Amino acid sequence: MFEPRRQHPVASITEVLKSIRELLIPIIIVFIFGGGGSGNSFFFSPIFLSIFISYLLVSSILSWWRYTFYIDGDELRVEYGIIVRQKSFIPKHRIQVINISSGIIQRMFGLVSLNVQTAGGSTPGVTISALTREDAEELKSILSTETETTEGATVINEEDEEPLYALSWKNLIIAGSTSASFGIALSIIGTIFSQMQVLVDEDAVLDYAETFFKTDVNFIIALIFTLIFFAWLLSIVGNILAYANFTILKKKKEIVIKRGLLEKRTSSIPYSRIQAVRIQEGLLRQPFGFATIYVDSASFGEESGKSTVLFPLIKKKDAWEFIRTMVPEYDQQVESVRPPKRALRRYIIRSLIPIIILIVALYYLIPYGILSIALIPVGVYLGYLRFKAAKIGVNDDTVIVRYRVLAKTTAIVRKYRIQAFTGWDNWFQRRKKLKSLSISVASSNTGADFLAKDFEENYILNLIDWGSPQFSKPKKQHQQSDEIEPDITDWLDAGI
Amino acid sequence: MRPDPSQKIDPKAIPAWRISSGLSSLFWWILPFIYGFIALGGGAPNWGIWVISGLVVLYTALQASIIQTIRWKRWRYQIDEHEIYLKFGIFIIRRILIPVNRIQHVDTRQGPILRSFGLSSVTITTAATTHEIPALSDEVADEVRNRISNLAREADQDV
Repeated sequence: MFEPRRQHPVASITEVLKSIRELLIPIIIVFIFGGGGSGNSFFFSPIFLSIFISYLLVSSILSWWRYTFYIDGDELRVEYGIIVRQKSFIPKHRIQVINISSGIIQRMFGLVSLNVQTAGGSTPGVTISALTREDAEELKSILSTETETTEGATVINEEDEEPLYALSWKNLIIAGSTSASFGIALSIIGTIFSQMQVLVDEDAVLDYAETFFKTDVNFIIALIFTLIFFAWLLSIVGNILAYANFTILKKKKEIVIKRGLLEKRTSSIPYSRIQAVRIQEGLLRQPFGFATIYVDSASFGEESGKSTVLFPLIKKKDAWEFIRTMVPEYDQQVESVRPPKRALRRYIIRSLIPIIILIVALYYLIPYGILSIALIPVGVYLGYLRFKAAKIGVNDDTVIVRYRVLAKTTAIVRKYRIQAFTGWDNWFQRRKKLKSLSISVASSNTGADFLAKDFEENYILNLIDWGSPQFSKPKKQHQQSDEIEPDITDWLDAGI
Repeated sequence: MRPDPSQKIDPKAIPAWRISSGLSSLFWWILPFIYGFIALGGGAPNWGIWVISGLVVLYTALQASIIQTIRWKRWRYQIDEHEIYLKFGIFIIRRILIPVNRIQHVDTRQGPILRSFGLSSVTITTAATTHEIPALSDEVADEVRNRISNLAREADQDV
């Protein structure tokens, strides 16, 4: 570990795959648009292809050859690069998360890849893409904060530890079928479908469409349902791949998550790096009383812009128990308020604006687009739901914010983790003595903002005061609109 | 309740902003031309071009005059050992509180227009956000930057 060393040669294979993945979009473009005219043969000529493939091979072998890593004192040092030599020195105390994962390639050779994520700066951490599991565990134990107390005296044997929570197959399936990726899958399939129509001969499409619209409405409906069904299957499969065998265990200084079916992933999240805990009740999950728990940790890495799933699917009534067990620091009681009644109109208008823009666009763009006017009640209802979800409360050193975009999110943030408080009001809000507040925490490389919109002016001003490190609890303003809810379980109440 | 931040930014900000915002508002002058092309093609009535041109010219005129005065009047900042407090905005008024121990680094910056007025802006970066105190005189900006950086260094250095 202390001598510079190379990765397992298998790393060059993963390097080839990585290059191909990076070039995927150009390759697809060449494949689709290169077909125009007869001049496409260049990209498919044996000369070009052999140059391309040998370039891939040589560059991956070279980059494997040039990639060395070692530990020097408290630093992980990685040197790499073919033309430009780069050196990354990562001090132990800057490391946010260490992930050990193994993709299909690694598992064929009994290897793993180790990914180290840091906060700050612009480097997205380093990935050592092929090494033996023993080496990875050794590196990890040298680099992880856990060893600071054990000082290498005790070898942590992970196999001996019972996971505290595991995701059952039943819940895994439920998670897949109620996942928001369902919508994403639907749009992907929809796009592919519409692209396929472009690829097919246009006349045929016209003929097809003519018979299509004239003859059989049932057929269209059946088609739409098939689409939805496939999207649904896709999202279940995606969830199974990502979250199968999900277990979470608690150590003295970190949480260890293992998951994955084809690609097994192990991530360690040190407690000291957790910035916020979120409980999210998705639109499809809420009616069944399920929620997902996320943590925001300040890390840069492959999942940038996403917070880490702490647990994919949990009964809402068990959520606080889970938090109490896994992240006890976030088990907090606060006194909370909701926005006053006069804010309801603003919530509804805010939800309606994008819908009205959509209706106008549809009206101009497609026949019978005006029928989308039926979306207006949906917008009003969404505004009402958002109003009912909005809630914020604090105690001496914790703030809990609840808000809804589509999913309802309850975010628990410790005061000393807050990066900035932004309170704002526009002209309309000033007239109604309302203010909004945004609480920023570090999360991935962009940070996350938790929003409380249109609350009582004085309460928000007091909250900004509370945000100052020298103040503790804000003075409680007992007003008619305030609803005091001392019991924390109310945050996940059964209502809307 | 906390009083408004105590410090105002440099009054030379007004002429500097009039120039910079006036210039960048010229971008919108492209709109009458686009409209003109559409109108030529018969896609829109001709009188619209006068309305749009009028609005665009008015916008530039406002940006190069009164708006910057209001903006300057509203801009307040305060730095003390625990936090930085900012208040600013014309239509939307923002109050921002940044705990000093969250600050990752502080920069001063100066574009050509600010430079010709002897002004700099101070940029404050946390692990999640970036904030700017625009248009301080060079000396004040350096002082503010050093002060914040000293305060931040004394504070605990964790994310």
